[in-house]
Amino acid sequence: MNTLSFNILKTTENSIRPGKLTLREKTIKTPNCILYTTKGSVPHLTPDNLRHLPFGAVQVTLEQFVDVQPPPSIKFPDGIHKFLNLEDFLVYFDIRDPSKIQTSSFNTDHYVSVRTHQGVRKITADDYIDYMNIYKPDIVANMADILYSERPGQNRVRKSVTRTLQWLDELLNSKKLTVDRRIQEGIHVFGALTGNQYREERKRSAEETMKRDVSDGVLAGIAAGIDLFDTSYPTKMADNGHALTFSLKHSQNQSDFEVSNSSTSNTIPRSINLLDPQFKKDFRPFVPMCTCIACLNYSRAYVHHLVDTREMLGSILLISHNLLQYAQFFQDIRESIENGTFEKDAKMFKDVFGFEELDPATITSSSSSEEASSL
Amino acid sequence: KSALTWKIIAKCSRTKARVATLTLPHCPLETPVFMPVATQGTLKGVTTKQLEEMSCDIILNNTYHLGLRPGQELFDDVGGSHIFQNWKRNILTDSGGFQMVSLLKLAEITEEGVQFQSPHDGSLMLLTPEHSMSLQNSIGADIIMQLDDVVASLTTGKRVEEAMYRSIRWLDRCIKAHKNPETQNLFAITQGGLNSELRKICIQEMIKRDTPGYAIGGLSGGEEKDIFWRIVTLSTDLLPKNKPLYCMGVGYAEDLVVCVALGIDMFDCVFPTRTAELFGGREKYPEWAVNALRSVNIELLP
Ligand SMILES: [Zn+2]
Repeated sequence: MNTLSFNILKTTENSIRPGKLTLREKTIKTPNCILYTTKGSVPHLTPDNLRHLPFGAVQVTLEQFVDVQPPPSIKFPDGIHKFLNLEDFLVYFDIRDPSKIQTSSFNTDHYVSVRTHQGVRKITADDYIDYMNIYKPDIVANMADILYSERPGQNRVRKSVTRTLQWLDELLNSKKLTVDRRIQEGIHVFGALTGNQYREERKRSAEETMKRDVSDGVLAGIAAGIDLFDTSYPTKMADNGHALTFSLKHSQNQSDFEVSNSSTSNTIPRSINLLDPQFKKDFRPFVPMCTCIACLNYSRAYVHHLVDTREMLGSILLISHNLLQYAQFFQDIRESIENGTFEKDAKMFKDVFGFEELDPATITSSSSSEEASSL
Repeated sequence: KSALTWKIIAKCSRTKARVATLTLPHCPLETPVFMPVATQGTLKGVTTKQLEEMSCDIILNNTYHLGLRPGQELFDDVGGSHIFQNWKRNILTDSGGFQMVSLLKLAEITEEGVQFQSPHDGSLMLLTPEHSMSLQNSIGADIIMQLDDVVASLTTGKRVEEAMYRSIRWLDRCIKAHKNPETQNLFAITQGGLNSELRKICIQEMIKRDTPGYAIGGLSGGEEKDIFWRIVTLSTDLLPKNKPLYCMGVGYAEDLVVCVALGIDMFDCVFPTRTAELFGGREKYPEWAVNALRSVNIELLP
């Protein structure tokens, strides 16, 4: 049984909605996040540490794999799952690394440019199909002409939407070609949405994507709400020595959490920087009641020491904590939506944490963020 | 005074090798044992839970590094290195002296102690036997090491003799300064370079101090293996049979096998990964190892 289903569990007035994605007998409740990886490995985590965390899917990007020739899945013909020792995870394949959004790309009608250690490589729609048939992910996002500049012009955005739709067509139409040119059965296609800041283009991107063939297991985009996110944000924060301290529920019992904090504003910091010498003698966990391997076993003081001496265990503990916090954040969002208290909770969250870039309201409604277009 | 018990379970009939249970304040462990190095209070990329799952019962912390960061005061505040790094089993700390001599170009040894320039602000600092004990008492390891006067193993002449006698004097100062003999075991470090006579004198003097265990120091510095094993076997002949013996800085595959056969119980090495293959890929045993093993009457398979 290898069909993919996505059910909206409840529709709400706006686009905020709880959903459920089922594939290979695995269920992922949405909104949710899937694990950011580098070359298929969750940064710093061995599978035993990874399996302590409540994640069911990983994101792998072709950009990080094109350098590997021939692709490992040719040498290991069972596909990417077995190669990564992640057979119990769903693998979502995308073309570009979502954490490198500052890198500008030069795409044409025929290819997407990706950055590798050996320089810029061009990936055509045909190449992409070939790679996917080798790696055999569960889900693949179609190639997208993603624009990384702050405010691209409308003509360029229009071109981006058109190209992305054209590449989606190529991916879907490959089904009609000879067997070896076709994307294999069991690889499900997600449509990528583009359009940047132009409402009209976003609408065209979404509507046109929805029109595409959704038969034989193809899911053409999750257009209205944004249902899946990646974990490049908590990963990046961990790499910078930060432990996430925000939480949607947090705001209600904020009193049990005091951070010795020099900031003058009355908001709680969304993260603490363990490089800061203020934690040298702080023997509390990052976050009280957190059940990650770091908070259960180690203190801020110890992690400060590890970060200070550049010890690997520091990164392992930070990422373990951040990923659990992030997963918990999404679980809280889902509960909040189901309870119908989401808008209220989101407002309180903003008041408590003063958070703009990671505001649950903009995360879960259809926004113009780039995360939206990568999924 | 001693905070350990040492019980031999089995002895090899042809070599000096023995299997024993060494019960330290935090848990018992079986020897021969290899102690992985957790320099900064962490073993590279491994959580303490994973270490327990690997059946690791003792790790080594470096006093010099921990004294710099996070510093002695923190260990006093938190109650020692076990709590700080959430490690419920045993720890051994070195004296800090070896690292200074090997890492710092400007280290200078006087009767008072090892003088060195602080890597932080360049100021002159002095590690005395008393200071080393104080640091190791704060870190709180199950086994702590005396400060010894380390000379490179290839050094010859008067300096070797001077270092040997000074190490005995420093042992006396360490014993006197050690504040927790009920909970921490101070090991003496025998010196004397590659000179058998000096080794004998040192061992005889140190046995009189009756420390809970003994280490063989000043080896594995690039000396000929034939000389190395002769010093080891001489030492294990002379040192007490009822105490654990630790050969410092030895960790290569052949060295481990030979030293176990010669009666050593404890090892540490900064290159544990290189010991992964015992005689791996070699067609022959190295000649020095054959000689060493013959000296304790072991038959080698062709
Ligand atoms: Zn935590």
